[in-house]
Amino acid sequence: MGMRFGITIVQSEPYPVLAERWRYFDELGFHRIWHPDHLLLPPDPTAPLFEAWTLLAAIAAETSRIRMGAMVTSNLLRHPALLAQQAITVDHVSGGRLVLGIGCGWFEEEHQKFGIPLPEPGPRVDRFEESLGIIDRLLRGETVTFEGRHYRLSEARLRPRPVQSPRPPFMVAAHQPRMLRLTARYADGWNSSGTPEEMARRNRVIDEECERIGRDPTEISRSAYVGPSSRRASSGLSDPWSSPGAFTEAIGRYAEVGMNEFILSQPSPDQYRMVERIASEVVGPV
Amino acid sequence: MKGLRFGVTVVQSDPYLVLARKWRYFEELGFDSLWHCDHLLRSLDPTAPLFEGWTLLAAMAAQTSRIRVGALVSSNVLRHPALLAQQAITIDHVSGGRLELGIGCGWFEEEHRRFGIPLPEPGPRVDRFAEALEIIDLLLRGETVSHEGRHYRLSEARLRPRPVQSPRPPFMLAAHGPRMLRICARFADRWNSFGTVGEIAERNRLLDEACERIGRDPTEISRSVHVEAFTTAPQGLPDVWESPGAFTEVVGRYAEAGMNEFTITQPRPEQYGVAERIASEVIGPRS
Repeated sequence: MGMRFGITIVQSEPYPVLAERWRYFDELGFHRIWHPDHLLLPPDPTAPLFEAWTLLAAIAAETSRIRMGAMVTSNLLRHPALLAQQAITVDHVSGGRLVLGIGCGWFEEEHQKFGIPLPEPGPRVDRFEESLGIIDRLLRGETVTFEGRHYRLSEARLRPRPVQSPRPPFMVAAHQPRMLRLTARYADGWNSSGTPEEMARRNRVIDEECERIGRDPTEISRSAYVGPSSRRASSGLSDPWSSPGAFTEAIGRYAEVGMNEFILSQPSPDQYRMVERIASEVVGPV
Repeated sequence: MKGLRFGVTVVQSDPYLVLARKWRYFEELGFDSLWHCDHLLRSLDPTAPLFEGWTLLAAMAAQTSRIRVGALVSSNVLRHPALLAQQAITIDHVSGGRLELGIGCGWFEEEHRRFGIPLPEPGPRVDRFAEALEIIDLLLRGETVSHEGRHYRLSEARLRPRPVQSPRPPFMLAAHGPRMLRICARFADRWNSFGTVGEIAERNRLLDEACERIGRDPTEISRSVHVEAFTTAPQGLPDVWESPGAFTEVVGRYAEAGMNEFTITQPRPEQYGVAERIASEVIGPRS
């Protein structure tokens, strides 16, 4: 598996600016566009923020090659059947380019302000597990009957089937052991953020769980968020957009511990020329 | 037909590329608005394909440039009102201010039962709808909302950016019974219903009375009727897509009952020729 490079474009800018950025990174040859899924933007809850899934359909309509997904969808904001139906829709609008990023939810402030219950960590992961199972089966076109603690379905089926077969890949965000074990069971891709050492440890947990359940661990791509400067500083890494060398170094440190997919925060406008060099020298031809 | 507006419903069961072609076709013909439903299962045929209403509105917005877009109608029981408001803001931006926010209280039992999404009894369902509208209205106007209701609780909640349309995208509310019509009088910019000409005339009168009671000018609310064979045929009215004359006759009957906006089920492909004549001879040029 070659390396893949994704870019996070936070949906806080005016729509025409976002559309221009999506097309720019599509043309440069990056592999994925990501944006968060929240009612409020965690680093700045007063900032503008478009709704993630409707905006994914717009990315799908405005681009032609790059894949897109939410980094990551909160399981607590929508019923899993609605999320599955949205995923099917974006997969069709994009002609099969959706990556279904999903996590168990975490941002207390939005739950408290909008009055959407945020379960305690244990039940939250239980609910996530139930949800993943339901979404997986609905997307595979199955008729689902399920009696869980959080969800109950009775001969429920969605049509049409997604474009991708058997279904769009799941990118699961996981940092702790139990979520990592769920990742081993359901994910096609795993995403986390942390120092290279932390990522190495989490990577091992996934490998071990794969072995335990008899799954080939190489089936799961390993993606690292190489983003916020605070984490970079603690890893002793410089801004990956400062030069092709810095980019290669940051990527290399994570690649050494087994990561093969990288999610970068978007460059500042004055770094675009460097981004173009990095795209042609490192990311490679489209 | 001056002063009247015409929309087409294109149910989202065709392949995506066919849908995109239809959207652009009806836009070019000069229709005023495009609509589709919001369900997990299509009510007339639960085994049919059906794309998700709101993500598909974003695609519709991106694929068209003039026509207005909306769900007829969005079910209030499928999403939290804050999420619906954030989606509405997003579509309003993607479309450059062309969203019609269609909402109803929810009704389709089968999808609730199969997917295990609770469908409250009619009374509480309407209570919840009224609460949701109040919240969505305030959030879309850019306000910071604190609300202690029976169904929703918000505490200093605010969404940004503000929608493109000011003060907010128009609310198209589906209502048929007296209590829902009273809620319309309070919140709607457009009211949508379906039924015989007689039924529609009666509801129109109830809406006028409800407006008067709360001191709202009833002419502020446009009156929209959904026209479909299952309501026109039993009244002895022709299929609107049969001829320009048939279209004018049906529209005229409802216009006499006070309706000024029409959402019409899309023509079948073999009726496209007549639809084009209706567009040029009856509906007339659009800006």
